[in-house]
Amino acid sequence: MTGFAKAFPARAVGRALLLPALAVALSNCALTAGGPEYLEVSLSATEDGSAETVQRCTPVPVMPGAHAAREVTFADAFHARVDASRDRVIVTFIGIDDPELANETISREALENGFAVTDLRVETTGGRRFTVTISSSCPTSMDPP
Amino acid sequence: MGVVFPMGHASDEGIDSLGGRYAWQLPIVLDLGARFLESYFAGVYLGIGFGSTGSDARLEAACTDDDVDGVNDITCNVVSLRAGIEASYSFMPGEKMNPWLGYGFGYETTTATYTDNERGYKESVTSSGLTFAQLAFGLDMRRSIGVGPFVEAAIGQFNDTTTEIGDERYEVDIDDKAIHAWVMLGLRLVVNP
Repeated sequence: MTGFAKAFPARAVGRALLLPALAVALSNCALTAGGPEYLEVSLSATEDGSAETVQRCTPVPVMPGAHAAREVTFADAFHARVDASRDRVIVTFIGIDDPELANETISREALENGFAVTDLRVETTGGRRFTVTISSSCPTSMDPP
Repeated sequence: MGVVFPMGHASDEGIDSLGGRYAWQLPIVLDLGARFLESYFAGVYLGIGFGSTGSDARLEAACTDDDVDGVNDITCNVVSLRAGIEASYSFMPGEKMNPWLGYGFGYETTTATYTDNERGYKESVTSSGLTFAQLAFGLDMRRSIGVGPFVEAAIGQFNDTTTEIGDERYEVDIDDKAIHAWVMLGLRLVVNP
């Protein structure tokens, strides 16, 4: 028997090759159930000169036909309607000047990739000014709900 | 009882076919009523159907528990309820073989539920609306009881949707309505034919 064969007997070499193969095979076996990412969209507004921020999170459904729709009121000054379906979230503002400039339609892909608008300036029809943030980051997470 | 197949669209919002949302179902339907003028029947129907979620690729992927722990962590199921009034006409009420034709209308609701037990997420979507026309045709073979095959198409439209995610509940009207149909192939049992 050669020195090499003594140092690396055939069975030991076989095991050494088997272990990486097993590791590669098991890497395709998930330990969690999988399923979609559970997303939320966060809407918040801070009035100029105020330290108080109003924030509301809305879950984004995973099933076709589902809608999570709600209206959020900010400091009794203006409203935002959030309509979240599986594929997109539509945010519509009411009670501000030029609402079409602030309205947003956000795709699910954008939310999955970390959507954020942090410097949306709005002025209400009553003349009050706010900074609005729309993002996929929600501190009061829905996962788990 | 029989098998029900979904057809048409649940809504006109994007690609939203009824078969994409819901798979075929196993229903049980109870008809209660009275016969009059020998050939006519009038009464009420009440049905419940059980099935799974539909063929939508993303929904199928979401409902697939693809881990290796041997536990079903994600479950998806569908329950339908239908109720209404109906009438039917028997062509040969006194004969052993009686062909019949039926019409009904009423209310229907279908709930699809997605539960991720591992991550503690639950979502259910209930769509409800009117069944405009439940058209049926069958053939009863009559002895002391009647039994026979039938085919039925319940044509309707969903008007509103209720979504529940966790403890929160959202109700919306469906703006882009569409026509759908539940087509049933079954066998019916008639007591006191």
